[in-house]
Amino acid sequence: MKLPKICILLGMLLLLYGCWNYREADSLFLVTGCGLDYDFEKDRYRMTVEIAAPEGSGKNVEIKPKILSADGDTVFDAVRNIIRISSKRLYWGHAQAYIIGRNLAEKSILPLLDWIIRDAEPRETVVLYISKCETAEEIFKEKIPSSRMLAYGIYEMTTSAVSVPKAPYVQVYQLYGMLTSDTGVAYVPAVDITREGGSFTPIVTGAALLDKERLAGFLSEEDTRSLLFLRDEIKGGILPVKTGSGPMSGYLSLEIFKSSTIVTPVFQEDRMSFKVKTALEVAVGGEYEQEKYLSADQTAELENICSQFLKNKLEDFISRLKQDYGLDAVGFGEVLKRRKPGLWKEVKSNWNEETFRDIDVQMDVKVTLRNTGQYLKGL
Amino acid sequence: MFRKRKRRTSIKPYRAGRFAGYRQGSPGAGGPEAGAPEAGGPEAGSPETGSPGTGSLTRSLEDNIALFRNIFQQDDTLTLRELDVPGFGKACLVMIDGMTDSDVVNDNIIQPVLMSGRVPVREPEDVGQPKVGEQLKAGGQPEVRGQLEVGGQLAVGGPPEGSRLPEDFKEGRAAWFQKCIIAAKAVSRSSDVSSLCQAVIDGDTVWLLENEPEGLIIDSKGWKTRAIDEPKTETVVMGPREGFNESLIMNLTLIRRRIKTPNLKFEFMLIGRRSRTRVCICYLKEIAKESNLRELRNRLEKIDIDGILSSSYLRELIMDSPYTPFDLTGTTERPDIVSANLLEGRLAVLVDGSPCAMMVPFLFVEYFQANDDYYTNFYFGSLNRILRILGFLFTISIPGLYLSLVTFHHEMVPSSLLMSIYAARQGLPFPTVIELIVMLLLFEILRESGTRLPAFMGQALSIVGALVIGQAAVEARLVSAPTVIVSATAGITELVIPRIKFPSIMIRVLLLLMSSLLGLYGFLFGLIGLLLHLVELRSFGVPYLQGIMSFKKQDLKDTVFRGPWWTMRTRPRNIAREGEWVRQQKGSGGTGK
Amino acid sequence: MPRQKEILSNWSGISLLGMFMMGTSIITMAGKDAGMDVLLALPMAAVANILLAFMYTRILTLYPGKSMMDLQEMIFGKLSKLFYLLTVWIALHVATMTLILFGEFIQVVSLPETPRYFICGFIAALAIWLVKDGLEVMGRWAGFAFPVFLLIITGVSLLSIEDIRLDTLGPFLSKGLHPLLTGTFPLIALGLAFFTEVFNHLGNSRKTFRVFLFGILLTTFSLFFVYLRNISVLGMSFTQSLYFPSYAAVGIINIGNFLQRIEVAVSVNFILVGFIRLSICLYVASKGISRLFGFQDHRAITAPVAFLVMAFTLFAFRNIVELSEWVNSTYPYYRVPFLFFLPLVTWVAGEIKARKDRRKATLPPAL
Repeated sequence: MKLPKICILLGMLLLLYGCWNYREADSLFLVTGCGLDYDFEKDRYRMTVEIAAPEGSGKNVEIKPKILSADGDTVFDAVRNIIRISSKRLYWGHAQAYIIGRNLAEKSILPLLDWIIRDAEPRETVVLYISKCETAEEIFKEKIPSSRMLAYGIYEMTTSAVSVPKAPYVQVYQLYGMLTSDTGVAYVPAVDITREGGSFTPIVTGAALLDKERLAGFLSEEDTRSLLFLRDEIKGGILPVKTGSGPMSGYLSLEIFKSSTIVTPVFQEDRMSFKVKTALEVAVGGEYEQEKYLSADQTAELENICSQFLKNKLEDFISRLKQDYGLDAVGFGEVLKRRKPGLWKEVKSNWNEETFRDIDVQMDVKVTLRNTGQYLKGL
Repeated sequence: MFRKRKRRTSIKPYRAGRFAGYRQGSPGAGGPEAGAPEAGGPEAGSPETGSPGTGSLTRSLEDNIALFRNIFQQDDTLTLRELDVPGFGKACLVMIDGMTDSDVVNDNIIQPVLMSGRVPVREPEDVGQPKVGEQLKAGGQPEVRGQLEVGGQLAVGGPPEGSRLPEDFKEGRAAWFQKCIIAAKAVSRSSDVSSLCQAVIDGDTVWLLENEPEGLIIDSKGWKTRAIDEPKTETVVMGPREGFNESLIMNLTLIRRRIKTPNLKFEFMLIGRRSRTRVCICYLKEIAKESNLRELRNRLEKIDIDGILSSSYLRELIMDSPYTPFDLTGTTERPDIVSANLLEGRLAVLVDGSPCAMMVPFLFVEYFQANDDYYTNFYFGSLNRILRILGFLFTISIPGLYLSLVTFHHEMVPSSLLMSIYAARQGLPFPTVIELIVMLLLFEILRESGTRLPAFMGQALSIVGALVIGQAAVEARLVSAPTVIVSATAGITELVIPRIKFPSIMIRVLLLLMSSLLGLYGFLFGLIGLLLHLVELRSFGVPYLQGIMSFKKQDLKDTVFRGPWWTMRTRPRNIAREGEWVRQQKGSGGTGK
Repeated sequence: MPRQKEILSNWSGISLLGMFMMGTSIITMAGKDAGMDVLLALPMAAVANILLAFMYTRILTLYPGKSMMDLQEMIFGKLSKLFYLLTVWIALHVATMTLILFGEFIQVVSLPETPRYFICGFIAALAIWLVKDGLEVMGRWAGFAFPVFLLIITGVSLLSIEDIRLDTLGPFLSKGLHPLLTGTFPLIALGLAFFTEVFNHLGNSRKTFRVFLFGILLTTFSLFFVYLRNISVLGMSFTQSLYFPSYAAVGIINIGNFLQRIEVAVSVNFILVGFIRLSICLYVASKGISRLFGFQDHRAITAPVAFLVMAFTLFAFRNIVELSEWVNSTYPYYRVPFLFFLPLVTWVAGEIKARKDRRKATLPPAL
């Protein structure tokens, strides 16, 4: 007697049939990325989105990027206002790059971050950027006409950071974790415009340092690399090492295979310091003065030189971090919290302002040479 | 145990007689109208019940012949051969043309009967067996030829030693003819008109004698049957190529030739008020479960239908859950599959006139098993099984999954793929769900028209199917290319297991509809429902899903994987009789494991 | 043919128990308020669960084949109706919460515009179907679905290995024992009490405790890995800030730009286990109600009970914020009288009665 019942149930279902969330792909515009600014004069948010818009008809439909922007009282309001221009609903599930203009970032990045996490469509794995230009809109508006999605280009520049560690790859969920940690220091990749071949192209370069929700400053590419070394985020890439002085002399490129950094707190008497142990496994990727480092003794010497070079870089970076920003981007505080939760409770309230500026850091860098490429002997 | 069984057919107190009884000359053991008021009228042919008449023969040959003529009015295939037997008077043979073997009738009935008149009257010698029978045995050739020779001897050399004369038989002359003259392998006497008529219909010859109230029923069945060839629908790469044909006895022989033990039992039943179809239950007595056998007999006996033309009729009449789209009985045209099933302790039902045997209990996992698995390398067999399971999963799920991905869960499709679907869908008139339903429908129409189409038209069909629907529709921007790909994939994978075709179509459409309501969640609810339905099904009390997803090592060997023969030491659980699960004793097999 | 006694196999029992216990924790991460200490709370809760299982096993084996309700009827007579009423109430309550969570989850993560009653209606219809088919079918269904569930959990957890940052774990017990206890309490599965109505159908009553034990251990292990994965992938603060951390944690998986966006696997898992949780509650509720009113067969009222639960979902909580707050703060204590003291009283009374019966049996007949 089951069949009639099931039939009745199915029939009732058909009566209830509503295509509540049924959305054809072509009834939407796919957003690939967006930029958020704040117009301080009008006191409104300004959202710029890049969408994938179809061009042509029949069989020759091509998907081309298209830039739209709209204002709104809140972020979500601005997002919805774009529909008035686009005529189709925007779909955010495939957006990858969310850029915040410098002007807004100096006030707060939270409006956008909150919307990304709260709304179901934007994913937790997207990357938030801070524009070095005043507004994020410039990044999109200065774009050379091409069929490539600009936002995807920016995103791919970041993910390729594995082989070019010049910008951090920080996904939104990681950013949230950093912002809600006790120190509240975070960093995100920065994006800028570069003039190349007569036209402006966006480029991901360095990192933006965040203090709680506010932009504290930008790190250069070199500093970003140091930061990534210290945070043990380096997975590969090239480390150029200067071994001599003068133009065209002494530069040597090391290809990084393996890198690990361990930070441990050390307590001596009443003084707290941190020991940073960085171990690197590299190969010589290229050198100008070919004959110089090819015997066994020379490689040991080379290792020493490189270690010293990197050590200087890192120490220099930490000291500037302490003096210029007073922000514990390296995460010494987190280490302390995990190792000495009791002590951390005492110092956490003014960690960035005072304690962090005072701590000693002992660097220990060890570079190990794995091979020298295919060369046994140079020219 | 069989509590899930729900019967739809009304149960009438009709008990189909066993064929075993019928062979002894009491066909039908009383129809539904037994004792009904149609007794003995000359027009006793009772078309409503299919039982040809009641009453008994009279002593008058004329009347008896008239009786038969009456019953078989307007049936011109009825053949009456009147004879004059010297010394006995008139006789008449009643048979149906085409149902009887002319050789048997001519050489084994007419000739001996005509010669019998020349038998000199002799003193009785003993009361032993009829000589004819002995000679038959000695000849060792129970064939027509052997009987011919016997007839010849009789004709030339006079009656053999020890033959007895009509006067010796107190039962009458008919008995003498039965025992001493007629050279057919089965002869019985009856005066019941209905059984005589039934015999004539079955292809036997009825022999009537003047002044004798009993007729002889002489086995002379013989008609042309299809040759034994490979079933078209179940071909194998390696393995036996014999298939059943429409003759029940021939089919039973094919099984018997594979399992040569007296424990192989064939029980006959008559089902169908009008068609009076012989149905045979086969089983291996020591292995088959007694309760299953009882249940099967019981269910078959309850069937009250006027005609059975194929075993599929029975299948629907005895299913545990009549509404399910899944098969709860196995079907095959191959004697090797039936034999394998019998050896696992299952029961087989064969129906006269149908080359399909039905086997119970049937488990879901058997859809995915093919006899080829057992005839080829076990790795290859396992691979094929996994492919079949994948094929089933694909065919039911691909359209629903595609629909929910592109209309509900855009975030799950990789960006680049979504872009191309997006481009392909620009400017299309119909929503994806309509596209899918129409394309699937078209595929099913193509498939159905191809099934019964003469081979020479097939080409036209494939051209229309492939070119017009596949390409032109996309070019004309009627449907999107991904939809065509999806529906074609679903259609092709459906054909991996032809047997599960209908359930797959039904599940696929249901899942598609559910997906159009709630996306992947609807799809998942559909799958939950499907699993629930499969779990609640039972075939003859055995859980339908038994053997799938079992963690017992022995169960896995013949389900998803086809284990090597030396590992399959036990029969599938719950099918064979309790304690009869061991198929191989320890130590058998190539590796001695 | 009279209905035969339904028999659960051991694996069915384990599957039902495991799926019931993981029910909602798998997606909401019950006890996550304890912070890092929740990882310690899990084994502690397991110990408590095993102790509870001792009690429930004892109730079931005092008179083998008798469920707790049977026992209550034997001991308390008319008074037992009160016990049934309390059990029915909590079963309805748990069913309502599960159903609301279903609706909320699907609505929040994927189908914001689809009305909740529609989603809940589907699940409730399936649950009615399952419960009507009886415990044996339910057990077999769970027996099939549980391995799928475990397979998905294992597979997804293996895929997230790349995102796991174990150095984010810790510090443990940084705020003393209090968070540990508050984290443990919601994880103690008092809902095991419902299984006193289920496990009397186990084929081998002597293995009741083993089924309990195995189910509890399996659940604890699975939950432990899920919790560990969520925390180490998302970080503690993000985990705590989400309603459905597992969903977010799996959404982060991205292997070679190919295996990504597979968070729907979490939905599948949640729906599988939540479905069983709902069905068990429905089963207990309809069984209790049919006893309350003296019906022969609980199947007849399964559908009305389910509709009742659906009606409850409409007004039980205003929104998920309220539900989540209630589940985290009030519910762990609210359920204690129903699911702990009630069985405790039954057990103690049952022990006394069983002892009396035994003495009666051994005493020589009175003169």
